[in-house]
Amino acid sequence: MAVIKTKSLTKVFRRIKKQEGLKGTIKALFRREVIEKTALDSFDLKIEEGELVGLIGPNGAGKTTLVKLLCGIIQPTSGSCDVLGFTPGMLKNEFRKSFAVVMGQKSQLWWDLPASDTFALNREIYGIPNGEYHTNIDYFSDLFQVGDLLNVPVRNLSLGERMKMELIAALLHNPRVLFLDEPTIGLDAIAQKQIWQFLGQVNREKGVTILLTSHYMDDIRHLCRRTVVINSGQKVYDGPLDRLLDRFQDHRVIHVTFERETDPRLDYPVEWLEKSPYKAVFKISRELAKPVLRQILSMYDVDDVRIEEEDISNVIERIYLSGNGGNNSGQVS
Amino acid sequence: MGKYLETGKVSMKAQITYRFDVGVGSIIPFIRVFLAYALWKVLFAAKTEIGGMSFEMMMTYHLVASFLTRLDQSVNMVWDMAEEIREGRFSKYMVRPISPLGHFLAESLAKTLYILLVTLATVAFLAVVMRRILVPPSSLANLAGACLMGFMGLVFLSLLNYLTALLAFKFNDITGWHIMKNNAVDFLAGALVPLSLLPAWIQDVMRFFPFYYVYYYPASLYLGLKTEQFVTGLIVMALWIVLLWGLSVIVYHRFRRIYEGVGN
Repeated sequence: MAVIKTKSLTKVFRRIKKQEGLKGTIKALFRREVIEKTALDSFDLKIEEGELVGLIGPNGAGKTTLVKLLCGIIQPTSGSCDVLGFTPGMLKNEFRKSFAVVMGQKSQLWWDLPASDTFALNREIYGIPNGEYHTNIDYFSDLFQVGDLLNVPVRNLSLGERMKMELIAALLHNPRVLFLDEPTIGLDAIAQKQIWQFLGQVNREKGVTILLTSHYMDDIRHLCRRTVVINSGQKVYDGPLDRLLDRFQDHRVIHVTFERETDPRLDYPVEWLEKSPYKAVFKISRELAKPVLRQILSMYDVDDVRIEEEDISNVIERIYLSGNGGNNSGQVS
Repeated sequence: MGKYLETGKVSMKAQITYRFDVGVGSIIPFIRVFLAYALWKVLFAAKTEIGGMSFEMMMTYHLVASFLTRLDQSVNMVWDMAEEIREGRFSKYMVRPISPLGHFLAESLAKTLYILLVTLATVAFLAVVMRRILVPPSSLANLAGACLMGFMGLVFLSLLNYLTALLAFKFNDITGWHIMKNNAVDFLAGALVPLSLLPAWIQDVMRFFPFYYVYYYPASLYLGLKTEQFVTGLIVMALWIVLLWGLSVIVYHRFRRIYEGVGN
């Protein structure tokens, strides 16, 4: 059963355009030029119960706008959306009890108090029965191993610890749908990994439907079987991430560190990005990556190799330039 | 109701973090009492009564009015809420099953309660220091009436300030409006001078407006003045509170539709 449905969902923001300088400022006092920006353009999406879907795209692509529309924070300009049978924009209490949203840069925790105070407040706000509340606190604090931090003022927690508390606060009332907007922004690798594990487990064990937005490819790769790529407010891909990368990542950047001074010479056409006695960085087409690596490993004393994938924004740009919209089968054209 | 009680509880706990600031802040309003003392001492040199009050009553009036002014915490919350709206942090009230108005009132009244506890010490100290120039409450009934009216005044001010904060949905900056409104409220509510100094016909008109009952009337009732206006005052205040409550709900539901929740 689809728990999230959008049909031709469109959001247009109106912005005031001001000329630069003092003259422009004074002029704007009397006459304002309004420009329209389409943040989301005829967006169709269907998410089934229990799915963990990644919404990926560059900055300004429309990811956050979509989440805000699905939460009822903002109103659509046209089209419709339905979450768990509710129209989000109406903000019915029953609807608000059935989902949760965590925005990476916006906190619901009380800054000067321990997270346990926010949890207690949420217990009252959502009317969580006592038993369920304590079971959930135990479950989530075990999962995140933050039992000893529950009574530490939020302002004294690290960014990663705060995000863990945000997630616990959001999940205490057992929401059926969880929206996550850039939950790993600014976090170090360890905290990122813990959050991936946590979300994966919550999705599997509690059956929570999760829509995760990110511009980090790693977030999506570790968590989501299904990926929706968005650019300029339009869906450009919907399907498994691997298939997307297979089709649209056309090169790799390879970093090699040598054990001794080396001047590598390869039989393949590579674009050298950096060449120093102990290190070489080069760009090569994806299909040649394997033979090149084989050659390097057989010819030189290699200390370390790192393969860098192409930046998501380049991949998206390529999909976009291919001139095709997405569909639900995972094919771009 | 439990969620608003818990909001109040959490808000009060957060206040304790700022106990030093609250302590210092509790002294500032009463500086006004000393200024009033200097001013009225001069004016009363040639008279025994001004605006129907003796010097002692005037000083008591200023102490009560300053105390009530200090209790209104919603006036400072306007800045926080307007900033939350401007920066998109207001979304957290929209996505949880809680009324932003209920949250605002619960937080404001909880802060008031905390300030009341802290400020009572300052008031008690001043009452002892200034005992020769202060008068005790005219009767227990009048004191209770003044407390009730004072409470209604605080609820009214909270609603007025909530409505002011809601303007941030529509306008980028509400600073000018908020400051102007605060000055007008201070004057119209009798925080600066007792309204009995104004011409009688203006006082008669003001009795139909809520400001009359915010500071001026509770302080007058404490002094045993205008007791016959108590019932009318209760009705007028109750009507204004209902009106502002309804307006707050309507304005919020209209304005939240233009909210963009800017930022990530």
